[in-house]
Amino acid sequence: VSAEVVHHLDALFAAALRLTRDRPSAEDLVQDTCVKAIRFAGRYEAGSNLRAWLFTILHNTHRNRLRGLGRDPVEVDSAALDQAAPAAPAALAPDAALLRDVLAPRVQAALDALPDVYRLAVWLRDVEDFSYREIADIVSVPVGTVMSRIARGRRLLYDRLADGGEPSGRRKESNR
Amino acid sequence: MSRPDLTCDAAEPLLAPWAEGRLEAADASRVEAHLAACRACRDDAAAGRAVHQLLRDRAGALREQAPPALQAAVRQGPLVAAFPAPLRASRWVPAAAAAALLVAVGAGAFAGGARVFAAQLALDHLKCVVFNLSHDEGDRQHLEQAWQNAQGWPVDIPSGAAAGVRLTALRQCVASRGRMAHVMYERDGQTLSLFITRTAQRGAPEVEIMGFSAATRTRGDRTYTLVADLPPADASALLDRLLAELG
Repeated sequence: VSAEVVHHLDALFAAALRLTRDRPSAEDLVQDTCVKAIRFAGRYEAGSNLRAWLFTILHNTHRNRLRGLGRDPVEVDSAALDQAAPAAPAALAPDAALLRDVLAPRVQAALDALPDVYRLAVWLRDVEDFSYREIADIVSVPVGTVMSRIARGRRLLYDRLADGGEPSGRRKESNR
Repeated sequence: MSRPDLTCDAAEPLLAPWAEGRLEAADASRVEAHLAACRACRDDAAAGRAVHQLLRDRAGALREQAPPALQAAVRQGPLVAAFPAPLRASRWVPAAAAAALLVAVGAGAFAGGARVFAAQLALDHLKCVVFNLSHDEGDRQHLEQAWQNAQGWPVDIPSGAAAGVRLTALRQCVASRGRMAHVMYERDGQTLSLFITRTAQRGAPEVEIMGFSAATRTRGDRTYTLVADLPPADASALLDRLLAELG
């Protein structure tokens, strides 16, 4: 495991930066992750998904830190948040051409402005290319919740990027 | 085809794989039937597809590289060497057990029982040794003053002279946000860690954890935990000698 961890270091650090939005904390989080990975290397099943295992450690460590600091991650993670939806229909239909020239630093700033659960789900899927199942295991939520978070996170991101301003949100309705 | 039309709530999770062109044909046509009828979901779907493509295109630029010092520490392998010897041999057990243990360990220095607390400290000890993290150096008075200035509460740091160890450093751990002073000593080339918290921890006096011994004593409103690669009785004796110095 120790020889393999180094291959995932950049990915772990990049994800840690998105989780903490702060370089010293991100570095510290990755250090903890590496130490734990090697400490618990014996529990890792040889040949199974090391990358997902490392990200699980990273996520758990981050979540437990928030707990230790008195922020309740359950609150952040709650189903209520998943079901909350801002109202107000967008004036114009989304246009992929609007995003064509957006550069990484602006994407990063927009990502960092998203609520934690959306930012992480979108990052793991679209940047790290984890499967929905893997993401569900990493963050310990059902697959359907992961898919909803990704869909909603992308939408929020689009709104921030398309006009650089406030997200327009979406109209929430059910047609039956 | 006999299945009912999708509601917006039911369509939403499917918009994620739809945006990537990953839905099976039957699901895709149900989603598209819904999109044809629902402007809000149609907009979400279009936005999702555009963002997915953008992030895929920018993934390389978005992923910042790990700092060189971190890379070097992991690459050169001191990480493994720093662990107590019995742990360096791997024992393969199912990953499910690993997940359970990680949760237990991760549960944190400030949340749970003595073992969990000791486990967190043992990890902090390893981390500081392995990554040679930034710290203050100097004599006892200097370190006590540095801590007071940075964190706003006083610590009494044993110099270690009477216990036969050399005071080397004080670290202000990032994760504990100044709630715990990490004092490091050296003896025979080995690093020992003394953690000082300003709460009375419920603590077992001695715990063996991860091949280390963690000895804990509470004095007034301070808790002192020594983490060392020593037999438990030796760690306890050493901690008692360190604390005797504080009077």
